Amino acid sequence: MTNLNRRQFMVMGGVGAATLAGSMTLTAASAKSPSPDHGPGTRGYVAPGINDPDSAGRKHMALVTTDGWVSMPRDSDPVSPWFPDVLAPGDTNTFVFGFRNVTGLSRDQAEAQRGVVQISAPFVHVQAGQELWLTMSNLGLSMRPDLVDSHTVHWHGFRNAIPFYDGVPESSISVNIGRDFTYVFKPTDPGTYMYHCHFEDVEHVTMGMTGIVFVTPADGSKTVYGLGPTVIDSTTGATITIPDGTYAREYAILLTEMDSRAHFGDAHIQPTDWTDFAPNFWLMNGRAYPDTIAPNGEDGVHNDGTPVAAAGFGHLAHQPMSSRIVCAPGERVLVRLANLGFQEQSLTLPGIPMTIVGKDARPLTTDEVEITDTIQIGPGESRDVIIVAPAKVGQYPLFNRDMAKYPGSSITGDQFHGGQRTVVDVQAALPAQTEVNGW
Amino acid sequence: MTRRKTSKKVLALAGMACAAMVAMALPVSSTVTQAAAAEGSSEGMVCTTNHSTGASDFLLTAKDGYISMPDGNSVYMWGYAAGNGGFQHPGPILCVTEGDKVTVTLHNTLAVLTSIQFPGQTGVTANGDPAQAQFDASGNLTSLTNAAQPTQSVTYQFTASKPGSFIYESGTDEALQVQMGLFGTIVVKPDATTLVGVPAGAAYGYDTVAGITHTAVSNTVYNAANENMLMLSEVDPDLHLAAEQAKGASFNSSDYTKPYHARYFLINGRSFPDTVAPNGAAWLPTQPYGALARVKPYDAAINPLPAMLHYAGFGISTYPFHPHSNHEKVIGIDGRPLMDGATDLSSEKFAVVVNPGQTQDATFVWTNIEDYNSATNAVPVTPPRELNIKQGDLFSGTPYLGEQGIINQGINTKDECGEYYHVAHSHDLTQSTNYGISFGGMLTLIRVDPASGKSVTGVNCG
Repeated sequence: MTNLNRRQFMVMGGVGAATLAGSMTLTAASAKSPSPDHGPGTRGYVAPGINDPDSAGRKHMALVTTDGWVSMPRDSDPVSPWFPDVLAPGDTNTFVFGFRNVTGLSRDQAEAQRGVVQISAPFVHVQAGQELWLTMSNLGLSMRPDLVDSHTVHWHGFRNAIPFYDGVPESSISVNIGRDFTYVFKPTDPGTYMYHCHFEDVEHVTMGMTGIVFVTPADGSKTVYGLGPTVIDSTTGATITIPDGTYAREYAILLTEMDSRAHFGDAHIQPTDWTDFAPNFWLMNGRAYPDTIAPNGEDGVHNDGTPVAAAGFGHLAHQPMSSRIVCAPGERVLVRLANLGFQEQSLTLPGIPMTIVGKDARPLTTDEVEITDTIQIGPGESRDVIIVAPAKVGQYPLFNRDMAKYPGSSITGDQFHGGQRTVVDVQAALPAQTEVNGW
Repeated sequence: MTRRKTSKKVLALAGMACAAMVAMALPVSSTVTQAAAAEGSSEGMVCTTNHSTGASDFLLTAKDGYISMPDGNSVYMWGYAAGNGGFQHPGPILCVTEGDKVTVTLHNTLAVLTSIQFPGQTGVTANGDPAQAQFDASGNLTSLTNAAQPTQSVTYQFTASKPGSFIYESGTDEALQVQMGLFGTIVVKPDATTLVGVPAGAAYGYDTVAGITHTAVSNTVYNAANENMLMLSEVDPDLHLAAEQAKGASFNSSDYTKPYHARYFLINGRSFPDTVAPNGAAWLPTQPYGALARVKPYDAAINPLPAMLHYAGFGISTYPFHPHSNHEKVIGIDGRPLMDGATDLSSEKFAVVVNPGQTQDATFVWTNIEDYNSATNAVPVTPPRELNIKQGDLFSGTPYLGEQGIINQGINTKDECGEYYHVAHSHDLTQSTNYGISFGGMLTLIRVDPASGKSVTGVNCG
């Protein structure tokens, strides 16, 4: 098996998918061929094959956990001695932990990803009522062979969870280095959730093991909570009236923060008192402004697992997700927001009203819907937001209204440098979006 | 957590002994009693009641004492004691009935001016006159409400005109005194005798008044035997040390000039794992209130009613509280039901974000949707053998409710009968620590017992 290349493996199709997922392989198999490559900068981050269920209707996805190096924006002011980290190779500057998508890769290819990290974690998505088999393999830490940390996947907000699949090491199980575990999820409720490692949670979360999960409605419609105007409330069974949840394009943005001292400490075998946490970067999808608006990269699942950065953005090879919201005039755009930082944030979008149609993976009824210019979102919360792109082509900033949360850069003079700022980029004509966050 | 291995009987006795001790310590002039919400329960909200027809009377004594943290630290606190009882933190949970004329007499044994304010209550009087902010001769504010000098008393009265959960806290130098621990909660229960059609075993968080007939607000129904309180707060131990060093002398917020920096984050005055110790645990003599929520799976026939959780925020920042295992349904905020006429405006949240000074009432249900069991419905992927995974000490050894499996050598499992444990904690994860050490702080457990109350092999869940 390990001598097969990825193409040969995929030809085998779903054969043995169930047995593989339960055994010691590092690969979750998909029944169908992957979707075609689009090349760097043009696609978002959903694994090939994840939209293609196996013969039993299940989705399969494989993640590995590891550590490595990423980049906070160039021209950031130093925070000596913690940032930039003197151990950081190449054009990186910060040590992190993370999840990588290895769906469809061979075992050898997947194992070669030790030390090849990614933040934010790959988007995971599944249709309500569909089974997701999520296999997580712990590759260990390249920089810290002294640590024997386990890892887990905690699907934050999963309804009626059992501890076995909830990923809390103390009340359940965690995955040792060199071992695999397959989490089985049968989500019932559409909406935006998040996932993260719960092992020594404060450390592993802030080190970068955080991502967005979303569940699309069971009716298969391209809507947030189902094709309205009425849907059945999954909790009460009542018929509720919901606002228009249709959209033409879809973007997901995960909010986190970074205290460079803690990242330096983990690279340099130093402890952190977590009650001293004081971030100096504020991130969207693992990047700080101005990198937030840079193109998407490739996570490597279309080749041998080697990440490919967009041309001119080599420093973002391990932060492939853009937060740039590209759309055409008049288009309805879904923005999924989730916060896995430790601070409440306040995002504002001057000039474009934001309609909150869901909170915490629950639809708001037409009585409850909120139309606002500023969204408050606390740690562990999510929001589903619909915006309508203005008629006038141009760039509309979406940014954190708390101006104390931008370190700024004395080198470029940009006061938003290093913070949570992106743009709604309204362009005259666009091809249809093929994948979430793609443009 | 090792403390939970103590026999359930011993724990229950310890809880009762503490309640009895508090009651016995009361002066003859006061008849404040302390009773658990559920009979002899080591879990659930502990009400302090002293109800007679149309009235509830309480004596609270402001005094100082110490609480203990799981890392071995002792923290000097100020608090409201029940009657003339011993120091406790937080203050008693005062349970009254809608319409009660509530009398709270504050007796001050501290060395500073102090008081109690009652946010959410109207028509509060102090010593018979309307309570109001106090100013010195120069016009400077001295207290947000009428206060008691050291060794003196002040009596507040109000009518508990609407049901819901409310806070009470110091109204004097509150930047210091609330942080020092001078706070508690009031739960106003609807007058059940006037409610129509209450299901057996049910209670309501709120009612509406139509003419003279009270009508229950339907989305606030809960299991009367499963009511829980979570008072969220934080402690800067350096500040408390400074207060301790001034013990016996006046100490005000202006006497402390270091930057505020919280290191402990508490539920009901305890930090995990103490949060899951029983009510009245003998080893936590000044921290009488646990925070373990205990439920059974939803069942339309035998367990149709949700648990009730009252949240109250006493810190200076917002606490994003995340219950694992299922959403919680927020049905009231600051003593007001989330209803607009007949329109239900409650919301299910996977993060209950509690603001400073706010209360939120939430209901909780957990349903065994998949009903996985080893006999007829195993999990779809064969679990790895136990040595291929790392087990936690709250793990039963199997994925299945009511079943127990092989536990690796060296793991001292706390599982009694194959029950499930889920965590519920602040998702500012720096707060789910004990002075920075993970898996502590503002964190508690939701325990899910098998519906039968015993494991498949007959082991009782206690």
